[in-house]
Amino acid sequence: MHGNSGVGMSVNQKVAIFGTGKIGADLLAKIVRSTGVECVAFIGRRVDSPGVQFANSKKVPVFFNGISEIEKFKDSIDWVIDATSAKSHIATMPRLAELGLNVIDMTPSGLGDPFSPLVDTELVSRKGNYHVNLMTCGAQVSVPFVHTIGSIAEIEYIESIANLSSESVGPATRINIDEYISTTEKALALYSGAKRVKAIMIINPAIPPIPMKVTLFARFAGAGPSQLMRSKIAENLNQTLENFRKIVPGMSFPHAPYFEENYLKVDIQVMGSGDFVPTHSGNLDVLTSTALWLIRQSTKDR
Amino acid sequence: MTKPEFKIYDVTLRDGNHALRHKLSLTAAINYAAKAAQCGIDYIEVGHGNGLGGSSVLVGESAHSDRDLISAVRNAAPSATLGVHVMPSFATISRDLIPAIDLGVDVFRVAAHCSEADTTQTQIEFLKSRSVGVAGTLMMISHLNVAELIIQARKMVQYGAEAIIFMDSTGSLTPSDVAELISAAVSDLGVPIGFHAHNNLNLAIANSIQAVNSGAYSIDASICGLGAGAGNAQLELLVAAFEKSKMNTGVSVNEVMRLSINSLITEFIATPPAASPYTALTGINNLFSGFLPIIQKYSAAYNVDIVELITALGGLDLVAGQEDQIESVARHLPKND
Repeated sequence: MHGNSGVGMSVNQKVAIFGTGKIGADLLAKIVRSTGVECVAFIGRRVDSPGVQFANSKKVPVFFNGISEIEKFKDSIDWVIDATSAKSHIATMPRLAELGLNVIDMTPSGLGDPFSPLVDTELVSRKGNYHVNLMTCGAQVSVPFVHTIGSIAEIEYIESIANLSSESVGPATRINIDEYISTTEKALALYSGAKRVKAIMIINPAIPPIPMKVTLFARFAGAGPSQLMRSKIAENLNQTLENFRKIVPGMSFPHAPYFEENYLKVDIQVMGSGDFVPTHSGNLDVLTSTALWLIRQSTKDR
Repeated sequence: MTKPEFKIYDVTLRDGNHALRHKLSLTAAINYAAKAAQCGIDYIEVGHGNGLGGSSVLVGESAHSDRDLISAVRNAAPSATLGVHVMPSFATISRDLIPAIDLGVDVFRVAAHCSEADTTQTQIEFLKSRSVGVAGTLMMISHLNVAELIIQARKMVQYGAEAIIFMDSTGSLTPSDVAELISAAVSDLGVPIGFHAHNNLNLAIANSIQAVNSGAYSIDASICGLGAGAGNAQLELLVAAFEKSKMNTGVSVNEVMRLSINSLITEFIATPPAASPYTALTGINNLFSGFLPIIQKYSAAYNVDIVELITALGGLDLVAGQEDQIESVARHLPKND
């Protein structure tokens, strides 16, 4: 599938980014300020897009001929990040697989291995042959927490509500809300073990834009977990947050998770680091931060 | 009777479900739908208050599934036009729309917060391709001015919406606001226009009559006003008011009064909604009417002043579905002495 290519031998990881929209440009901005990672190709469609102008200002090579650009210098690329659309990723992926490149898919294509950095530790340690899918912003934020809860108590039902600022939700997402919901629901079920799941996306047009927030409701069977288990859940959720903040420093609990009847409610706020997209767009930042983290992590302990 | 030039759309079994905390029983739905159809009510909408897929901890869990409610009403009122409310935040094509089509729903009203019409494109286009009735619905319309609303509505018409429904979900509009909006929509959009009132300022009937006088084709109403917050335009009173003005609704006055009297004494409408200082406050603060029970709950739980809480929430431009923000705001307000 992915040939024999591991992550490149050089410590400097060479990255090509497909898609010069907000997500592609935010990842580029993060790479530009990082050591050990270099963007060798920023591949888009529109010469005058803000992302392309940003790349030009940072002297990053920009191309407009899609995958054929990659083929020209495939030997000097370690990673391809696809920040285009699910449709485009499905069309491009077979060729990327033939070229044996590591791929991080930021679209909800459903291809590749679902990836959550705090849970899929065996994927992180694979150190090569990656084709990972970052699912959705809501799934990225929810998964480590629902996995933490589900590891301690049996969850009967889990619900994840993403509150997003209208400004941060681009045209592709707006016509793909169905895919957002179904991909997020699959992730909730896969990582929490819950029998029933629900994902909801709320878009808020307020100015100034609201920071990204995810609310989780977990319901347990019967009267819910014992007092001891509740303490354990609270403790482990705090630990998960602490670990997550190493990847997304602007993530926080506006208030501590709490039990009400047989529900647990967890509110998670995600402020981005404000690289290309504004800080309130935590929904985009969680994806770009996770992608960069994986690339950097893969070169450690070699 | 002559053919009506406008229609009353009965949203008792959908918006009314907000007032029942989404616990509408199958028996009540079946009894009500059968009698409503006998009164001459043609359009009957059913479901969770937030529409298909709305059942959730966030906004309230339904007593019965969408499937069961739709089947029950379809069987009870086989000749009525059966409608559902759809919000892409909650409903998806495969999980919700396709099963509803298969169960015999006639009209889908695909709804978005008034500034986010482009979130409805995929579902409107899909429904259009399946040859069912599809309307575009703009909710919370007090958040935008008329020109902005028309721009959003045009998008829905482009996607294929066969009618546009304007929902004053916050109950904030006055009759002159309604006249301005509906006249502009009728002259600009080229499709039938509907209006959906909430009674926060006790203006639901006045606003609905104004909407018809300004050219609206459909008026949403519910028996006993059953709906979110202060409720909707009270259907039986609206029929009576139109009768007085010699405007034919196609609904029998005496029969609809009987329907209301009977509905009141059944278990399904214990306390009819009413305008109050609380609904007036949510209305003038542009807050979704359905928030009120949750606002009252957390005002009591955190011992905070309800006027302060409503005013604080009003500053946040919240949309329907942000019920989870109410608790967060209440938690951080100063406590009552």
